This record gives sequence, structure tokens and C-alpha cells, in this order.
Amino acid sequence: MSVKDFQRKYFDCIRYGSKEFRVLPLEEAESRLSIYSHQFLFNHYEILQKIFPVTQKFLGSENFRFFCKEYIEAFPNQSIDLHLYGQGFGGFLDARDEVEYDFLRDLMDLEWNFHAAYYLGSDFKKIITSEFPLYDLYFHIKEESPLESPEAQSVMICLKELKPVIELSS
Amino acid sequence: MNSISGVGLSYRSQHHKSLLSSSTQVKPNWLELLTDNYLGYGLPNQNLRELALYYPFVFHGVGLNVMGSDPFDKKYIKRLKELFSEFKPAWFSDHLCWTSIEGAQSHDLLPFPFQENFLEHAVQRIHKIQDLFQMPFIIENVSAYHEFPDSQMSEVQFLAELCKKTSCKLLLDVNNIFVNVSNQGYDLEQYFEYIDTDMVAQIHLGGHAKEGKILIDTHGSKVCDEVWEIFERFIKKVGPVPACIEWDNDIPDYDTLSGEMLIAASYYRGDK
Repeated sequence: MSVKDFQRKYFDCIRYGSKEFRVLPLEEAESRLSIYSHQFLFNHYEILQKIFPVTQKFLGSENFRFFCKEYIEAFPNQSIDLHLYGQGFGGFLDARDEVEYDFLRDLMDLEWNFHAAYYLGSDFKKIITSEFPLYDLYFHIKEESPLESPEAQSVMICLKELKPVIELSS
Repeated sequence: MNSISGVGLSYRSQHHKSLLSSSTQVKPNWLELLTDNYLGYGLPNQNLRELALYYPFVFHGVGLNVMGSDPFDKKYIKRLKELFSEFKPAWFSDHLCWTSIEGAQSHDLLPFPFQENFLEHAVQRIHKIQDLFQMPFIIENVSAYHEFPDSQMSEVQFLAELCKKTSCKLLLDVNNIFVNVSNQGYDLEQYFEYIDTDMVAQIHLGGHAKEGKILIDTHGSKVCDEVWEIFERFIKKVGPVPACIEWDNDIPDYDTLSGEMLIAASYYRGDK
């Protein structure tokens, strides 16, 4: 078998569960191959978790994981750079009937913009010096926040009825 | 600036302050940067500029798709060249595996059978990488969770032949050797038989996890005793090749990594 044919068949096997491949040990073939299938999903899921921590908090871990899986299956990454994955996730969730939060799309766009500012170096000033309305939630961003990393951000989301301010701090 | 020798550390941003602080007691001699975290132009790259004032670098990537059958990605190559031109690493490395096919990315290190046609393919790909970059490139052995029934040689025979035919040296991941010996029943002694003194440029030291009967290459825990023993045997055979503590998941605090670095250093001194 040529290198290319092998790779096509193997990729189909781990992505779509095709049974074409014999691997050793034979009696454990399915479980051994499934390690790669799980890792495929997990590696994509992990980057979505990193980029959208607030969305995950809002939706809950189980719901977030469910929608991540749906998104990964529908829109697998085509770029070598995994950090570029997920820009369309907000639009994907916006189109889902099960997701009822009208502001979620804006929230996810904000999270993506923070990620882009941190990783890609896109225009950060526009984000950190502005105060902009998102539906009925106002994000007030402290100018002195260093925002060292997305992982360091903690966002308290409070609906308008409870508290008026969402603070972004490192 | 020190050259790449002794104990290094795979850099994670969580440890940035510790690495730059004058009060940190244990520091690596050099840093390994994960190439694919710096393909953008944002804050991570600014952090590297700060580190470069104090540490020599090597770069370690996952995106080259060394064993892939797709042409090398031109944008990726261009970005790597920019990075290497700015930070002047002593060498760069990637894995002896494939990661994508016809544009579909797995973001995983996928295995292949150890056959003559795959060896020929590997030789061509590594020669191409050497031509493209004109700087030292080394190749890492990966862990695998199964074997292929139609392999014609062992992993280490494949590695040794590849090194001979390309003059490409190894980034020898001793944890991956242990994982493969455990999962596949490979003969550990064959690794010592086939890996010669001048084949190894760098060593990786990391941990693994156990799921049932299988060891999973998580690089998310301390180096186990068996892997330290393999490391000790290798540095006695191949000499004090620089070794890097590689902790990729469940990143611990800096003190934990310091402990691992101190253990590695003690093997170089022969204290252990």
C-alpha cells in the first residue's frame, strides 16, 4: 500500500470508525485505535475550552462538551495552527434552537477577540479601552488590567437584574 | 550565552515569572519552545523576546507532518523560518509521525508501519526539510498505542536506518521508548544496541499515565523510576547529551519542575 493510501484509510478509521485496519494486538484493536479517535476529539475540545471559558461557565460543562463535539464533527479544523480553530463556534451556537441566550453570540465574539488579541496580536487597544454594550449586559473593562493570558481571565457574568458590571481582571 | 547543554526545560507561560526571577534557585540551562504556540504575533511572542535575553533556545514542533504525504505547508514553513531567524535556536525538532492527510488535520501524532517504502519516504521528507531550512533539524521518536502486522522492522531499526541515511540526529524521548516497550512488547535492549553515540542530539524526559493495561503518553506527570533508569543507561552510552524536562499537561508549579531538573542534573553528575 502506498503511504498516501495508508494514511487515507487510517484517518478514516480513527475519524469515522471504519473497520478496514488490522492492528496489533488483534484482540485489543478496537480499544487501541479508539485512543486516537478520542485524542482527535479531545485536542479540538481542549482549544475550544481555552478560548471560550466564559461560554463554558455559562452553558455548563456538559452542554459545552456536547456542543463542542457537534461543532468538531461538523467543522473539523483545516489549519495546521490549532489556535485558529473556533472562530465560527459562536455562529454555530447562535444557529442552534436549543441555545436560548440571545447575547451568547456577542459573548463568544468577545472571547474570540480576546484570544485573537492575545495570540495573534490583533488590535488590543480597541478592546481594552472601550466600554461597549452587549445586549443588556455591559462589559466594563478596567484599563489597568494586564490580561496576561486568557487562562488568567476570570469573568463574573451577572445578569442586569443582579449586578450591573462584568469585570474582566487578570 | 550558554550553549545547549545539561538540563533544559520545555517552557510554559505559567512559569514565565519564575524563569526570570532572580530569587528562583533552580533554573534550566536552556529552554525548549513549542513552535506551534508562537505562530501568531501576539503576547506569547513578546514573552519569548524577554526570555531570549537570558536563555538559549531550541524549538520543538508538531505541525511539520514529517511523515505526511501532502506537500509541506508553505505558510507554516515561512512562519517557522521567521521565528528561527528572530530567535536563532541551536536546532529545531519535530516528530517522526504524520498529522494530516489531504488537508484534514488530526492534531495528533499518528503512527505508521515500519516498512521499507515508509523508510524511503521518511528519508526524502527529511532531506527536503534539511534543504528548506539549512539548519540543524532533529527528529523525535513517538509513542504508539498499537503495532501494524505488516511492519518489516522494529521501531529502533527504522530510526537507526533513518539516521544513517539522512545524518539527521534524534531527539530521544526515553518516556516514549518505555511506553512503546510496555504497550507493544518491544525489546528495550534493542534500543541500546541500535542507538549509537553520535545519533542523539537531545533527550526528552516526561511522564505517562496508565489506563487499564495501556500506558498513555500524557507527559503530564513526574518521570517514573524506570524511565530515569533508561535515561541513566543512555547517557552512560551516548554521553551527557542535553536533556529537557517535558511536561505538557496538568502543568505543575515551578517547584515540581525544579525537582525534576535537579534529579536529571544528579544523573549527569553520577550522584544517583
